[in-house]
Amino acid sequence: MIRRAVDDLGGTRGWGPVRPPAPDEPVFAEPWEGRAFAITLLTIGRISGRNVDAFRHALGRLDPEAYHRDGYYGRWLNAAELMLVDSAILAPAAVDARVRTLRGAPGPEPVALEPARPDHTPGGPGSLRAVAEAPAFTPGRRVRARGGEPAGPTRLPTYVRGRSGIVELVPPAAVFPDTNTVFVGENPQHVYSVRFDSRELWGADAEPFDLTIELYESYLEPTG
Amino acid sequence: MSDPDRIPPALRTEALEQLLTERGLIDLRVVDLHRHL
Repeated sequence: MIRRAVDDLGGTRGWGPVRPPAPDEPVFAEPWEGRAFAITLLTIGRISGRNVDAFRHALGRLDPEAYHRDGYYGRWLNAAELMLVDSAILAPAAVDARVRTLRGAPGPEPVALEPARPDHTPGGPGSLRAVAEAPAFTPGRRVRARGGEPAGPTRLPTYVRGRSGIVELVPPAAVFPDTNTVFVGENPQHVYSVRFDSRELWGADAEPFDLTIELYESYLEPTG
Repeated sequence: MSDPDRIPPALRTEALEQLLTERGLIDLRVVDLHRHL
């Protein structure tokens, strides 16, 4: 059975209808959401050199129950806390201990550890990068997303693994998230917009439509 | 059924903000979000 990150929800069923935001809906439904948003952005900048892939990886490692229960900005908050614990800026359970204090039952708080910030300097602004080698695939080429379970973190969605599609276009190359997320290098790769037939992904009974997603070169292999 | 051990996100946010502010790591009074987006 393939292990699936909690945020690898693409292509899964049972989530109900999509609720588009109302035109006058506030950006933050409650004040804490805005503060959680700001704390998370500052956390990403302070401890990871704005490594958004590391943040996404933290999202994918959240406790599944909390992931679905705490909402969008709750996930941001929980991911920020996880990154801070990863970097030893916060001791595990430090937030729990402070919550007890805020609830009027103060107790010992865990001692802060020696911070171990990842040594990370982005190779440039944003995530687009130049790659010297020519793209391995050109538009119109039939490709297959690699199957099986990757050895480490990946942004290759489970629902396309082992499925075949057609390269539509080759957008700019970009930082490879699977290595950048764990701070072992940007390793930029070519990126491909690959068009899949819905029936290839979900079976012959699926509603027929095309779905196009962007996939990194190492996620793909040629097929006939 | 509600979980009695669950910490509401609002309270968790307050706790985390306190801890980071005490250590001088953040100051939400001076956040310029455009610099961090």
